[in-house]
Amino acid sequence: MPILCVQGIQGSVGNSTVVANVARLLQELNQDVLVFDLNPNNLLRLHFNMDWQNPVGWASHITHKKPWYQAAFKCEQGVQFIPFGTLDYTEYEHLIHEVIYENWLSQQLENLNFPASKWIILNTSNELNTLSVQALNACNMIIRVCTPDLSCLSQLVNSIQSNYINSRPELSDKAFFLINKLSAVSQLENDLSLVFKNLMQKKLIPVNVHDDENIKEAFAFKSTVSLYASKSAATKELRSLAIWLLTQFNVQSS
Amino acid sequence: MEYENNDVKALCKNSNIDPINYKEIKESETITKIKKKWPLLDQILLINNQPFIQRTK
Repeated sequence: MPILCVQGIQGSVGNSTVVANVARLLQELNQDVLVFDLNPNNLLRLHFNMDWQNPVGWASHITHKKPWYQAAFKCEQGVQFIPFGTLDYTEYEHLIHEVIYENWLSQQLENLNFPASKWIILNTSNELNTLSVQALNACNMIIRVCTPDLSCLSQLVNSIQSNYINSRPELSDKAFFLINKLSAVSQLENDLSLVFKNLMQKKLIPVNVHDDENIKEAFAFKSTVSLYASKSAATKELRSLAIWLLTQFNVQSS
Repeated sequence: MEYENNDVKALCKNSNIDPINYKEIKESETITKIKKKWPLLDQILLINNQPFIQRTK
């Protein structure tokens, strides 16, 4: 079963946006996709037209003593998603420190007993905590999302997250890098994308996702870019990313 | 030293450089130029960060 963990090198790199759009494009390529939001910012659901006021999610279900898997939704286009839910600070601390035991995530995924062809995409916070560490270990592939700027490069070379992943071959071997929000007109960003390519070589996913107004507007419409602007450059780039994923997992898009 | 033409293979042969490595040499020259343009980039990519570079390849 393909299990992807998508984690930003730092915040605001467009992690949830990449997850939502890739999930939707994989689904367009006839794949069965479930997106599991492990990020407490709880933004992913908004790409799938869930009401902003709706507090439901797997974490809030656990807090209210309900089975967490009953917080699953299906958007109109067929992508299944499990939002994080709305928690306050005390509830979140309790969840992280008292509820999520060792190997909780891999056990829950196993218990769901999904078919081998189902894609699971874990949307993970850039901060290392019990949940994100479990996601990194439970997946078959890590996509580390970065923007072509110096703060990201700095975090890439030396940060708690990078040091954690790079010091564990079982994680660094399955980690790939995605450049997101690349500006075509920025000299610095184009220079940095060359530097990233030189540093990461085969670990850099051969698709850059450019900064595109259509992606931002799609989110404003609580949708994904392939629905909002199906012929846009962003849709083509994200579709290429989805196809690259199919090739990595040797899946045919029937 | 003068060369008769600008053929890369001929240049490499005369300079005793393996042509396979020619592209890498060119790429690292580009990176050196980029590093000189942006001081913070130059600092981040100091030689003591090489272990990171090896691990990510």
